[in-house]
Amino acid sequence: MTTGIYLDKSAIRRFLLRAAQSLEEARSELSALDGEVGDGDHGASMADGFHAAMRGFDLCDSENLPDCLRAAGRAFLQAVGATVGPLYASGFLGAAGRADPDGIALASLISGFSEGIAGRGKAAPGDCTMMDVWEPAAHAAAAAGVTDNPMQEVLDAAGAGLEATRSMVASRGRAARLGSRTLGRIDPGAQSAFVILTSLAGVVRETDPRE
Amino acid sequence: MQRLLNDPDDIVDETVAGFLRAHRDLVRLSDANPRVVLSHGCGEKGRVGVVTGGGSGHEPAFIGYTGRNLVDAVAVGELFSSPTAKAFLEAIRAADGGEGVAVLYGNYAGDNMNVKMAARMAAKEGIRVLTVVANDDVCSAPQAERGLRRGVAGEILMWKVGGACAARGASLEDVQKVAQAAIDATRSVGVGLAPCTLPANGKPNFEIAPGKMEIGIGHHGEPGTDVVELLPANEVADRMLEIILADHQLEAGDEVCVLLSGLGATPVNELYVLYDRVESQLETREIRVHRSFVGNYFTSLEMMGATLTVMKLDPQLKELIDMEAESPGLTVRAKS
Repeated sequence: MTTGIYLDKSAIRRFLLRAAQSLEEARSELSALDGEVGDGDHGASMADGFHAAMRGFDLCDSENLPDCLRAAGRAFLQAVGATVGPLYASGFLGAAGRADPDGIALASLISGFSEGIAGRGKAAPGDCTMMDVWEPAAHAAAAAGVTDNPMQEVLDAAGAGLEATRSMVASRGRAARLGSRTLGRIDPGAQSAFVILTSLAGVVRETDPRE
Repeated sequence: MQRLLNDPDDIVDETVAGFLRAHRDLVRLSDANPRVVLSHGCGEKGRVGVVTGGGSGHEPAFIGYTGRNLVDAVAVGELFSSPTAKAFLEAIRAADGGEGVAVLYGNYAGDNMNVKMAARMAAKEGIRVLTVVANDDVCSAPQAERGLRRGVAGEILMWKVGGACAARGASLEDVQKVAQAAIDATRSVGVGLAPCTLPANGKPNFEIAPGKMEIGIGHHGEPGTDVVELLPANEVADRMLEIILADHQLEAGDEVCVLLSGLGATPVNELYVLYDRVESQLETREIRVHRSFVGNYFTSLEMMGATLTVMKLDPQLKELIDMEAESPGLTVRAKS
């Protein structure tokens, strides 16, 4: 049995709060990145979406973590259209599917998001999307389950994926229509995924839940 | 950026609010969702409902085509961004009069996902939903990959035909079939002379160098096939028509419906200059323009440029295009 990091409901709540705050801070930067390859709304979609998810999580009647994650996903979907609405809503549902009533393993949380998003958007690493961050992050989290600092390995893998989107030609999402105009640019969806994982790392660092 | 704005974050709400006031004889807001606009005849019993939706910034599309014998309910997104699945769902609910709902929309990743989710939620509630995805933009993918092409101004003709067909009491399957036939008979091409700026961004979201123009550009600034020196209007019209004719089987004796839309910043008189050349060039090929629409029908904020759309008519499409319709963006009177 693994003794990997395990997050309870209050840690998940802190994660959502911190992600919402970090995405809020990154709002203009993400929109500017998106303005170069997409429609310039990515910062607003992600910040508004995580604020809504946070409220959905808080307003959920149930004490049960999977129910609260589903409520967060529904709230995200109600608040945000674009492509990220359905994608992150599916990410929350993916995480809910892997959560226990009172908590979730770190690796399950990341891979739940990753699989949920991939199932909806059908993108794979190399397509120059958020999956270039989520997939390697999920892989690293699974591989690093019992090491000392799994989030560092997750962020290293995610950061490498993020940087790799610079050399990719988008083949999914609206940026795909831009063809080679995406070359040399960080994908905004990959950037926001990295912001979310960085927020998660902050919460993990603060709480060290392996006591 | 010289624009008429309050808080850029409020622009969609304020657009919808003004639109509803200006056109209250034709449209109203959904009680269930402030991002869903309905025609007064929406949800009529015994008739198939017609729904669309898309990002804002293309006005009069999409909300402007809500009206009589046209679209029943429109889901409104943020600027250049798909509406939520929830907004599509509430549009579908409102448009359902018991005979099902046809969602006729454009081929974009966000719209595809949100419509699909909404359609599944509606099906769970017992509402029958069929969809048609517009892909009229010739330069967005090669002929062999037509399924990947974007939907642009040709969507208007698809809504016109689908709305007319539904108004005649056709079944859901028939509305879908004829809307699909409409978009299959339609090709569009865009040219861009200057980019557009999302107000919250404050700077243009792509570049077109001074003295240049981009042929085949998408209506969010997706790149075209060629960047060339800015050409005289007649040559621009010829290039656009050549692109459409190379992709579309049109022969002497055919009849077409032509829609020439500005992208937001192009003076309307220049659209007439282009149109004069387009129709005269069609005439020399003995292709007859049965009906034409020239103006700002499907814009892209303040992008400078135009979209040319040509629909090949058969007797059925002709009848449906000619049927009376009334909406803020498009009014068609019966031909005498």
